[in-house]
Formats: sequence, C-alpha cells, structure tokens
Amino acid sequence: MSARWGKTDEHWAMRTDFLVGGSPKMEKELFMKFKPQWVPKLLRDVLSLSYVPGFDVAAAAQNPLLGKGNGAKRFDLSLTGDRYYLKILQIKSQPYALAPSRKLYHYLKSATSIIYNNEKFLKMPKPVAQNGQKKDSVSCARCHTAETALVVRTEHLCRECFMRYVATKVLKRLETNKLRGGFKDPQRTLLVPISFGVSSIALLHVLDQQLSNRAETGRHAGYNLHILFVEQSVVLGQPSFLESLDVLKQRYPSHTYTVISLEDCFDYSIGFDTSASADALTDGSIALDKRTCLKHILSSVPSATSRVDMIEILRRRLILAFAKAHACDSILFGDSTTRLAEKTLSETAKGRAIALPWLTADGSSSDGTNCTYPLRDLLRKELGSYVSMTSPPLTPLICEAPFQRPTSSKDTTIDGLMTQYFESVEHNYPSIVANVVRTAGRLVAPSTSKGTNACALCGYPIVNEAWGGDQLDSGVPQVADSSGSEYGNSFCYGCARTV
Amino acid sequence: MPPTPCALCNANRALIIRPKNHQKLCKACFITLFETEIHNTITTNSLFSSGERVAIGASGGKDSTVLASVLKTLNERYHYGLNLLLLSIDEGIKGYRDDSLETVKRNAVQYDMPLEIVGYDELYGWTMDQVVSQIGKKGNCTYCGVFRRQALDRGAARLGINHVITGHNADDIAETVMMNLLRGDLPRLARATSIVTASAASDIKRSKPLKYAYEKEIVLYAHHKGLDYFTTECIYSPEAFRGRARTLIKSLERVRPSAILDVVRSGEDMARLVPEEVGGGRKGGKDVLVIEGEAEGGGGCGNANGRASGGEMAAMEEQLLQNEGAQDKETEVTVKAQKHDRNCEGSNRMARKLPKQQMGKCARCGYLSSQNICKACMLLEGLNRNRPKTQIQVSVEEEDNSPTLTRRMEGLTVIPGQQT
Repeated sequence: MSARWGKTDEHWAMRTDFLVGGSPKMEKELFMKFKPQWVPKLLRDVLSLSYVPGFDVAAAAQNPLLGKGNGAKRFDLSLTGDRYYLKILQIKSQPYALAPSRKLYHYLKSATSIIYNNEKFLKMPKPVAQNGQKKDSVSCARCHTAETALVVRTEHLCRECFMRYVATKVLKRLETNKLRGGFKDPQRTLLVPISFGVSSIALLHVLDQQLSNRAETGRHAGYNLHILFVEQSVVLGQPSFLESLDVLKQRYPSHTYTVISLEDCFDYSIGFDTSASADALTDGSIALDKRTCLKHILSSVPSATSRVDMIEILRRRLILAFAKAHACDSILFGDSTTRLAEKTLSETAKGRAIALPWLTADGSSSDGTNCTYPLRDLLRKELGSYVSMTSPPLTPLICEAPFQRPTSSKDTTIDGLMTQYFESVEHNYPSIVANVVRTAGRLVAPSTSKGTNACALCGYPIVNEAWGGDQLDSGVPQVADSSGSEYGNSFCYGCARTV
Repeated sequence: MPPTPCALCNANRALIIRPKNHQKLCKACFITLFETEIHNTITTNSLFSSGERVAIGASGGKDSTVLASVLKTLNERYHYGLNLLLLSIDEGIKGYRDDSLETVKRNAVQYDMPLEIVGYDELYGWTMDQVVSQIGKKGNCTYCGVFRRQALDRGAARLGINHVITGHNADDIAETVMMNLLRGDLPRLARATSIVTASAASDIKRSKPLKYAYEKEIVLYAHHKGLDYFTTECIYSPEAFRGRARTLIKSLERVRPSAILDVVRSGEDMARLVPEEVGGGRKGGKDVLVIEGEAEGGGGCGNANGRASGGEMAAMEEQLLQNEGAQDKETEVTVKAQKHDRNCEGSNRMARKLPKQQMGKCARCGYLSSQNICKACMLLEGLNRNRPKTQIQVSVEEEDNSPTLTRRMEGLTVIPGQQT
C-alpha cells in the first residue's frame, strides 16, 4: 500500500471535498496535521478505500486496515499537480450524511500527520499562501474585494456585505413565515411595535429599505407597515419618547404610526384581579383614572422583578390586542437572538417555561395572533454595528436607556440579570446564544383544550398540573392549581409568583 | 426589640430564616418542616413501597448525609418499612474520596446501616487518579460519569437491590435545567427533572427525594442536626457549563428566593414540551441519546464552583460554529442527493438515530447497552490501549480472584482492522 501512495518524503496536501465549497477557513483547518493516535482510525474510517484510481479494489478488500465491512463507502482519490484530492462520495449509503461527515471533518481537523507502520503516507504542509494572504490584506470573505469592516461570527465582512447579510437574514425570516408578500398575495398589514431600541429601529430600517426598493423598481409592495409605539414613560417615570417619534416619522414617512399608552390596556379589557386592584376598587376609587390605577397596581407588586415582569406582560398583551383590533396580519417583534435567549432563560427562571413556545416561537400565539421575530438570527451586537453603519446612521434615532447595574440587590431583576449574563456570553460564545434560541424553538406548545382557563395576568392558557414542588403545608399557598380557585379566575404558576 | 417568634409555633424564638421563602422559624420547627416536605415529596410521588430495600448513594457529602439522616428519621416516624443501606462509589481519587469514605463509614455506624463500597479499581481496573494521569485533567469527567452510572448499578445489583436514591437537590436540578438549555441538550432537558428515572438502560430505579429541597436548607439541616459530613470538592471537577449555570442559579436565588424552585418547575414543564421524537427516548434509555464524549449531566459531581476555565464552553462554541459551517456547506449537496429533508439539523439527527434504539447487552461486560459495546467498555478500550502492557498484567494478577472487567477486556482485545 505504501508504494502506491509513494513519494513519502514530499509534502502532500490533502483536500477533502466532502464539504463542498469549503470556505478558506475550512480549508485552512483541513491542512492541519494529524495527531498520531487518530491515524489507525483515520485510515480505517476515512481512507478505507474501495475505489482509488489505479488501486486494486480486490487487494484493498483483503487489507485488514481497509475494513471489509465498509463496502458502501466510496471515495475518489485523484492526483492533480502535486496534490491528492480525496473526494468522499458516499458514506455508509447515506450521501453526505451530516453526522458521519462531521465526524470525518473532526478527524481530519485533529490530524498532525499520517504515519503508520513507520510509513509516511501524507504530510500536511502549512497553507502558507492562504495564511499569508489573510494576514496581509483582510479582504471580505464574501466579495473578496472590499476591505473588512467587521468580523461576524469569525467571518470577515465588508460594510456592503454586512448590510446585505443583515437584510437577508430578516427577509429570509419573513419569507419562511410567508409574510414577504408575493405579487399575487393580497397586501398585508404588518404591525411593528417599536421601543426605540437598537433592534426595533434596525428592523424598521430593513423593512423600509425593502419597501422603497420595491417601490423604486415599480414592484408590488407586498405589505404595509403599521408602527406602534407603546408609551409607558408616565407610568415608569421616564422621559418621553414622543419627540423621537417625530424624528422617526420624518425619516420613514410612508408608514402609519400609532401611539398608545400602557394604561390603555384597560380599554382593551386586559384586566386582572389582583388583590391590589381589588383594593383600589373597594376604596371607592373607581373614579380614579386608569393611569393612577395602573400605577397603583404596579407599585403593589412585591419586587422589582415582578414589576418589570408585569409591565412586559401588559405591553405584550396590549400589542396583541391592538393587532387584533386593527386586523393586522402579523406582528413583527424586534427581538434579537440575544434578546430571545435572555427571554428563554428569564422566563424559565420565573417558572413560566410552559409559555415559552408562545413567547419565543414564530407563528400563532395561543390566541391565534401571528407573531414573528424576524431578527431572531441576528445578535444584538450585530444589530448594534448595523445601526451605526447605515447611511446616515440610525444611532440618533435610538433612545435606549443604558443598562444600569442596579446599586442594591433589591433593584436587581431576573430580566436584568439575564441581560447582564448574556452580554458576556454573547461576547465570547455567540453560537451558544443562538443555540439556546434554537433549543427553545424546538419545544412544542402544549395542546390546550377548549376548557382550559386563561391566566388572568399573562393571558396564556393555564396548563398547570399539581406538582411536587408545592409543599402541602408550607411555601406558596397562593398558587392556584385548580381553575376554580377563590380568585374567580386564577393565575398560571409564573404569574402567581409575580403578583 | 423583642425576639421574633417562630412563624409556625409562635412559641420559640425564631433563629432561622428559611432560604426558600424567608419565613422566620425556630430550630425545631425548621427541622420538622424540612422533614415533612421530604415526606410529602416521597408520598405524593409514591417513591417507595413497604418492605423495599433501598440503597442510598452515599458520598459522605452534605446531600447524601442529610438524605440518609432524613430517611432514617422518616422511615421510623411514618413506618415506611424500608430496609436502608448505604452504597458508596470509590472513584479512587486521593485526597478527596478516601477522606469522604471515612465519613461514610462513620455514617454507617451512626445510622446503623450496612455499607457497601464499590471501587472503580475493582470494576474497571482503573482508578480516577490513573485515568487522569493518562488522559489529563480535561475531559476526565466523562469517564467518571460513565463509570459511576454503571458502578452504582453494579453495586446495587451486588446487593440485590433495584432502587437507588441519590442526594440531588433542587439547586442541582435547576443547574441542570439551565445547563441543558445552554447546551441545547433537548433529550436531557426532557428527562433530567423527573424525580424517578427508571429506564431501559438500567434495571435499577433511581430517585431523588431531595429534588425540591434547597441546598441552603440542606446545609442548615445538617448544621442544626449536627450531622457528620465531609466538605471538599472533587479535585478534578471543573465543568464549565455547570459552573456557569451554578453562578447563574445562585444570583437568581439572591434576586428571588423562589427562583430555584421556579426553575425546577420550568424544567418539568419544558420536559413536557419536548417533542415526542426527541423526548420519547427518555424512558427508552439513558444511554441512548447521550451525545458522544459528554459528561453525565445528572450532576454526578456538581461541585465545580464557577471556577472552571471555560474551556468546555469554548469547545462547544467551536463545535457549534463548525456545525453551522458544515450545514451551510452541505445543504447544496443534500439537495442534489434528495435524501432527507433538513428543516432542522438537530431533529434530523435524532430522527435518524431513533429507530436503532434497542436495548441489548454489552458484548463485553454484559451490562445493558443500546450499542453492541457499552460506553464504559468503549472508554476502557481507549484507556487500555494506551496503557503500557506490563501495567495491565500487573493489575490482572492482583485481582486474580475476582473476574473483573479488566480481565474480560484483556481476553477480548480486538484486532484494529475488524472494527467498524
């Protein structure tokens, strides 16, 4: 066999074609050397050839190294110039099956050199040319011409390609959810709630760009945007965003804008019986305006976490109700990957994991409203770069209160904690952030029968079953497991924790 | 200021603020309450049957010591009619396990329970110290986890027992939930929270009576009962994901004391949301869906205190990146091949694996396994291959009387070429 491979002193380069169109990076890694302990395995699993030009297949089958049982494997080895090209056509009857080829890839990656029975078969040189190229001028990995503006998940991208990258990710999402609006489709109305954060502004920009591109080329617009801003400054004691809204309207004039206040949730009959609101009513303060009422409710919840949680729930329900009332076809939430991952873990921490499919997945919510997260494939830091790279930059439009580390643990919220946590994870391990979201996305919403009661606060069906964590004579008496509790309508587990 | 009276009995002075809900209690009430809660967990889940022989997986640490103590108390108080034994695993880690085993031996006397110690050394011919000297400190938890799972089963089988209880507490479960979310390990998410794990992968039933007990309360209980336990962490332990998850859980607990229980609850809920084709394997076998080269996630050694290097996370990050890359690159090809739909690479992988799940016996050691050769034997093969020949022979001679796995391994050495 060694004679067949020959030329042992020369430096052979092996390229594996099982990853078609391998990126420069991928190739670079394949050129790495094999660790000796991988060699028997590599020869067995990767190079157990049954077809090599000029290679006697029958003889190979006799070779114990080449493994008889692998007849289904087909390889193609060719010599071009001074390089061997190994092409793996078939692995165990599954053409390019994912797992085996990934395995192969890992073998190849960890290899330092192939030395077996004192024979040198292949020796990988360092890919000098490629390395050198990368160091000298870091050109964009996509267009190979422009200079790199930033690194997106290890890929060097120029400004143009990055802008396209972001827009494609968004539009792809719309397409998979059948919202892009083809020529034949009826014009849809998409509700875009904005918070003046990086994400929602970036989303608005991408969508506006697409609409104006279509308008310029005289194509069918496909959808209308309805921009919704939930005003909560009064309740939260924050500065008002209304001025920013005017600026936004000037920049993107062709859409419908609506402002509603958080306390309007009472108008949409998003009411709930907490002891607090009951108090307010029995006080004879029915005459109180809804703003005071809401303030009262918010100030009566036990902790900062609960307050943030409740505002979040109310805003979401308000947006859903608004969409329903205005017959919007879908709601496009501006949650980035990072935000969705935060949400996943913080809802888990708040005991509301049962609602995760409704809170983070694209598609119908529990009440039939269609929710989509077009930015789910984009990290917060990527969106941060995006808004600074548009021309003119979107940064002046963004009014985001910088995240403040709470001074006392009393002000710390679970959501804030998760924001902090993912800030660091996103920085070092962006794929893990995406992985969390993907994992949550694979959870299936619980099936709800018609009789299922909706939670009085979050509005999601209560799928509670008695569980062992409720100790009979201690702890959490207010958790109502049965639907017919004393409240008249009860809370789900997570909301019971909040009120 | 007058002393605060206990919130339950209103008679004694409150000395303890309950970590779980900040209730102010006196010592006696806390101890009763803690025991009653475990009793509730046991009865609502009907963990035991009368006359059952149950082995307590005892490490000498706080959790298992408290578990042994509480169960002994409850067994007497509520007449469970259990026959309790202690079962310890000796991983062979000097400076850690030898000391904690001394504690277990004292406990056996204190609680008047028979004690059985199963050593990695006698089962596998390798102590963890030797494993670590062979493969280094990185990744040895995989070996330890796989070996421990089998060792517990084997120990129980030796005692003729088919129920082992372990000291996993609520914090451990919550960490595992978070960890599995971060790792994207859906199958584990589906089964890690269940209080009883009876699986086809094992004849032995496992349960966790302390599942809803806070770690802090366990420590308080141990302290106030004056229990004799051992507090040193495993010297090889850093497991980055668990360390990270642990820090996260601890900060959550600070913000909202109920958070640990809430996470456990969420974990149970999510287990129900995991789609059938993934989670279906949860009863089908523990071994089946374990991703290659991964440590047992059940919290076997949950001692890493966030001091981990992060290498594990970095490794996962890299792997994920490669998967993404590979996926991008492969799409084109598979379209041509028109073989399988790939909406989601993960579920695809699972779906392909599933039909093969049939539990059989390991060809080498006879242990239940979904594969021809069980995980432990695979790991052993790797270890033995690189071990100097002489050393193996020495170990075989030493244990000449017991037909150990090592010996059987020796007899079954496989010519490299014959393997698939």
